[in-house]
Amino acid sequence: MIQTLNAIFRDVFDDPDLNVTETTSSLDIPDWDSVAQVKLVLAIEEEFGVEFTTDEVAAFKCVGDFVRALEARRASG
Amino acid sequence: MPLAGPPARTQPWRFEELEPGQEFTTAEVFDAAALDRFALLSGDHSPLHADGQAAMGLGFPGRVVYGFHALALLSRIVGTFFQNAICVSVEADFTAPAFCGDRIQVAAEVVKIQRAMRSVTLKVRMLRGDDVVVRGKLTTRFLP
Repeated sequence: MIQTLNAIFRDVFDDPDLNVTETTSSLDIPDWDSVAQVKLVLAIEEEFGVEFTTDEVAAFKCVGDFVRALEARRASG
Repeated sequence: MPLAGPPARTQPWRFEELEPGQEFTTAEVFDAAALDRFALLSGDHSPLHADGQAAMGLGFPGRVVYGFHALALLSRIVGTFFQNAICVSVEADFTAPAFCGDRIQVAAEVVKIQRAMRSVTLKVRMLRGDDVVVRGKLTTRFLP
């Protein structure tokens, strides 16, 4: 999953050298602003075929938050 | 190919009223005066856009419409049809030229709604007659 997310982050931030981990946050990526957040959410939703809730979106502060939300979706079937 | 317009109404659409498949359209004739105005606004005085003879010398039938001028119609779509929406991103491919005097028709179809972020993504196409001159994607966000 992290590799897929990394590919999305590389695309959104137009940085082929970007390597994210679960702890990567907006503090590590200066361009990770509200516009980038919209693009990240839309791209991740499209890739994984999900739609995040308002609570989930509000909680997205780092890559790990996306991972946990996606894993929770998988666990709930 | 005629484009279907949005349902007739005078009030802009609220986020809650939008759904995938809805299409919003507008059109504009890009005459010489319009191109001149955009040249002044943008500071782009390339002969390709500003000088008909020069454009013809490059193989075009006349002054080429500025691609970014055509994209400005997306601002009209958002500002006219949507209530309190802002543009988040635009992706555009300029697939064919349009020329001075052409009428460009724009269609923006709602393809995705992200309710948590109040975001709407529209598939965009701009037509010169039957020819697609711009295709792309516009993402907007509605203010709470």
